[in-house]
Amino acid sequence: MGGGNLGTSGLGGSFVGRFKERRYSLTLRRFWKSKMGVLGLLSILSFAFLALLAPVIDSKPGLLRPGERLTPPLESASYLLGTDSLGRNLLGLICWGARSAFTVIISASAISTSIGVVLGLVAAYYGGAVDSVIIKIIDILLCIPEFFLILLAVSMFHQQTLTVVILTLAIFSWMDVSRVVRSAVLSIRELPYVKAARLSGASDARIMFLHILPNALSPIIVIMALRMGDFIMTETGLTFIGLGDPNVISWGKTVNEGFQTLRVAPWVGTFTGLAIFLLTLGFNLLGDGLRDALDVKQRLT
Amino acid sequence: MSGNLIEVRNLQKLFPIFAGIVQRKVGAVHAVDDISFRVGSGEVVGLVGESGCGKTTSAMCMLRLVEPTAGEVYFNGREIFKMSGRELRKARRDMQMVFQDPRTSLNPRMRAGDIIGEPLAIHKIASGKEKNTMVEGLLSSVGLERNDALKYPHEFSGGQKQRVAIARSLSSRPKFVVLDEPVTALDVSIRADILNLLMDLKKQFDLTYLYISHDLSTVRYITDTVCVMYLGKIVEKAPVDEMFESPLHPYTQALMSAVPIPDPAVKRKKIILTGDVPSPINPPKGCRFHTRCPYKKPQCEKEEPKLVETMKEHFVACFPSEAS
Amino acid sequence: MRPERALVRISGLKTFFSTDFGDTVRAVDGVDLDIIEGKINGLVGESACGKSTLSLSIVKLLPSNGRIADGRILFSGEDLIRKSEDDMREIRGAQISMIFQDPTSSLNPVFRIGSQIGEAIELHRFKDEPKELTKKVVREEVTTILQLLRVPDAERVASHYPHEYSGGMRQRAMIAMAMSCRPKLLIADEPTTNLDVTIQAQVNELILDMVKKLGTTVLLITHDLGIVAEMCDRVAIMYAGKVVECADTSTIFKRSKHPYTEALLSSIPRVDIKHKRLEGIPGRVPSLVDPPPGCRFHPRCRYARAKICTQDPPTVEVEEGHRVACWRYTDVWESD
Repeated sequence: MGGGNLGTSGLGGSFVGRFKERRYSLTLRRFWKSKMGVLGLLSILSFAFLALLAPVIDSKPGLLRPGERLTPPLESASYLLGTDSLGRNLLGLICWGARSAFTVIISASAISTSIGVVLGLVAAYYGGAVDSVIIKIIDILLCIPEFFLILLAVSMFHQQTLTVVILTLAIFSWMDVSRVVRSAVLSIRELPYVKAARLSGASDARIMFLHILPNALSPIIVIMALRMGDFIMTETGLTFIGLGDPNVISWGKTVNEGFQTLRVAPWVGTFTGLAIFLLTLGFNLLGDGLRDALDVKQRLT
Repeated sequence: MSGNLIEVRNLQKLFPIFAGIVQRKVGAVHAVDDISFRVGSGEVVGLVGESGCGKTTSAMCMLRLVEPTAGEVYFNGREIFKMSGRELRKARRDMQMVFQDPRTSLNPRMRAGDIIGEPLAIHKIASGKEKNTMVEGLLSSVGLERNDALKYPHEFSGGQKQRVAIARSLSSRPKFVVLDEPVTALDVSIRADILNLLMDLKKQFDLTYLYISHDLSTVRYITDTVCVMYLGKIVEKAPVDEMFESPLHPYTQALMSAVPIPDPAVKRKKIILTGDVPSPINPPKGCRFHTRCPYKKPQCEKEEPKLVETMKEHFVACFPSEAS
Repeated sequence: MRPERALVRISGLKTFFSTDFGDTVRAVDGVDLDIIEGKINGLVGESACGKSTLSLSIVKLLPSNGRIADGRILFSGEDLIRKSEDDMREIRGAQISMIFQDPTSSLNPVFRIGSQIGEAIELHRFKDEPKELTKKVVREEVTTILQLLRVPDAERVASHYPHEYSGGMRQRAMIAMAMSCRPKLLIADEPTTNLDVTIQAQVNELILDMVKKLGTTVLLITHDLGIVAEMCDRVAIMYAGKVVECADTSTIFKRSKHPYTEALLSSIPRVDIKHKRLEGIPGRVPSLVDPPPGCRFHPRCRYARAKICTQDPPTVEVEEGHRVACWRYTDVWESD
């Protein structure tokens, strides 16, 4: 009863303007409070930084320096993390690996989210047969272990470029996004403002993309962040086995090599593994932090 | 028939209930069951009843937001349910609705100006500067300011949100507006202003209203004719003052006496009904009200009374008894 | 006439909430209120006036971001604010009970109605004679209370689950739960607001009947002045965290003195009158974070005088049992 806002007194445009900023800053504030989320963000930003600076840190990452192989970390100034069995700068490998990791996960994430969002929207909005079909597809795809599916798909390609990896990742991982979107849309669909839009003569597309989708963003953002963590693991796993583009430096490959030289150069596998762990953890923490910050906001609105 | 903007004939809406693995239809919710009434041009017709009586569903059917099971609705002589997609889209310009809860009837991610201007954009009535001018005009018609167009719904109070919703409903210059409990979710002291605004706008824009409410006090204030619904049926129809001063149907009488009056000096004998409202899934046979009616006769359990004009313009669906 | 005793005496109560913004919401900001024994005391106000917060403060069931900042709540002579959580648990259900607007969220869907009503009985009633507490006894007590609430076929109802019944019946179950230990005070927060009007009439009748039989003191919180007129003996009107007027019911309706009360009464439509044109109250409810200085209502008050009304108004007893917090009834006003 009544819509009294406990924060405005309507005393003038400036005050109200501040309140609008405060609405978004409320989410930011809450996110800031979640220390885990902030840590996650920091981790991601650090690796992003490393990825960006890769050409600066190590302009020739593939360069083999047989003379300097197996240098332990911190022994020499130019090889902070040491070198591997072929004399490559480990720090450089990690930075370039971060680059390819980010490339893969951002692209795959973008594509799979787009697919997932569209299908989830359409399924929930139209309901009925359309919904049933899409759900069945999702259920079937979800039954098969994702990694093996991707493994199979990638290995079928003769030329396994980064694009191939990205596309297969995207095509087999949109299902989670779809389910999340679908459940969000199912509840939004019944809200009066959607009915009002229909009454105004809005087309289905307009309602779906202008009215429903912007209000379903919160769960989408959260799941995107969490999924990116999964993508790292998948990408690393693929390259560990030896799939993917052999010309691209990736953490999986480096870990594999580190695994083989574990006794003579334990730092290779360790540091790369640590990098994988930290970045994945970063995305997971970010996702959790976002969920805490956004979820509560949903309750306020 | 002339002068009737809306005519509802034998409108029926049943929601099927499915059960079992095979999802057979096992029954139906009789939300609206064969109702007929007219809304004259410039009239305010009240559709009154308690929860589950079918008033909101009726309105949804009239606007074709929900497809009916049977019956016809004529808008200006044209049958709504027979219209094609394009014809319906055009007809939507003339029929609009104001929803009950302004917190959920406005898209929280859109600014007020965009919310109000959307119908103008969709129907290509105006664009750009012309649209902005029209939006400003609407804002001032509902008592809001020009720069309110830039605000988001959460920046408004409940009453202001409802004004935005009203402005939106008027932007396509409709002839007919359904008001679904427009003040129920608002604070008591604000209701009068919103109701006054609705009445002023009606004169200003030459509108016709269907006012849905369970709050009889506001119904008396704003309507010209009242239809009382019970379990999907219209049980009584009369001009407003007559309905309130001499209700004939036992349900209407009980309803009227149940409304608390804010005056301790007024002492009335309350008609307290026994039992709960029966489920609309399996409505009682015969007269739907007989399970709670203090004047029940054997006839009431077997036959369903028809809506009959008992006095001038006053229709009741009841077998003659001590009630009337 | 028997002197009226205050079962609960609230003085200077202040309850605040802290928001995520870091602001403090002054939901209840200095309230004095007497809840008279044996009577139905009404607490009236619109949204964000603090009435629900006040009731939650009495039973100390505030959410985690709320706190009682000041004041005393004397219940039978003892200050509830000073009491520990353990003491409060003894009091809740046994001496002070509460019912809410939405019976659906107060009744646990996985427990039968009878067992929920019986829970309070088991917890409170037989502490001194634990041997007396048998299943049979509890069942009988449950049936008794349901019958008191005129529930037909009480035993059968008790053995069923809440979702099998309608809103009106569930509300009766909730009242039964609250009354099972015959508390001294029943706090009813908008108990019939969500119910259909014919069911509302039924339930209100029941409450009146039961109160007469058991002599319970009631604090009835509502925004509906019609219900106040029908049920309450005394009324206190709240606005923006303060009590602005209190008196017995007929006085409030016939001779209200506070401008807010006046405006409120003349803004509500009635079924028995053909109104010409009603006037609402212009403006909006003030922010409880940053309330206007002095009298909270003055920005919307037609009589306001800026010089005077920006100070906190004193509470004046304009006639016996009738108190108003308004400058117009002070000498200061006359001399201006």
